[in-house]
Amino acid sequence: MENFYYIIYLLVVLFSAFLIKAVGRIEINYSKALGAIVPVFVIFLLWDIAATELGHWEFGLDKMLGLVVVNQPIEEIAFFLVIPFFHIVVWEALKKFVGRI
Amino acid sequence: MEYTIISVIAMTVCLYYSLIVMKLHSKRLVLISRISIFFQLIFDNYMTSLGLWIFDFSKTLGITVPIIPLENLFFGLALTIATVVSWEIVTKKKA
Repeated sequence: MENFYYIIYLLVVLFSAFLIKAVGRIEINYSKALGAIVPVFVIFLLWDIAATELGHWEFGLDKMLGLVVVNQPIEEIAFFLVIPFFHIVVWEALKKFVGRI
Repeated sequence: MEYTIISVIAMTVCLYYSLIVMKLHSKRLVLISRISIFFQLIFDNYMTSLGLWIFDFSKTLGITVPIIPLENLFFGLALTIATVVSWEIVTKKKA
């Protein structure tokens, strides 16, 4: 079971994003969302790869699925897609409900 | 100290871009930053306590909140603000 903790965490975040989106009736253009996420994904993944290489942090691979690309567990790579999507939904919710520019 | 320096620079660049260059709504930025920090304090600490993330504390300032390094909060905040900046650029381009 513990191998799935990271995946469960990502699914919880993704579910929360879609829940906020549905409840708040927030419209997201998915192709634009992807366009916004890709540069962030690339930059932060490169940072993560470098930081792992430099030993700033490491991963408890025995507690994950065990699939590794470069030096990143597959869950960590998915993290940089899921978390930015969550932020976009929250940001759009704030735009809708918290004041106007 | 590399982790500290990189994370502080990343966070500063993101805040500079969002507030000064793009002039995004500061109240919303404060709110999303608070949300980001709140979830990091819960989930990142939980993930670290489970042993999914293992930090080398000899390479950080040594300030922990409560078990993750302060630098990790900067990393997360930079990710949040960078996403917002990127999203605003993409959505404003052909709006």
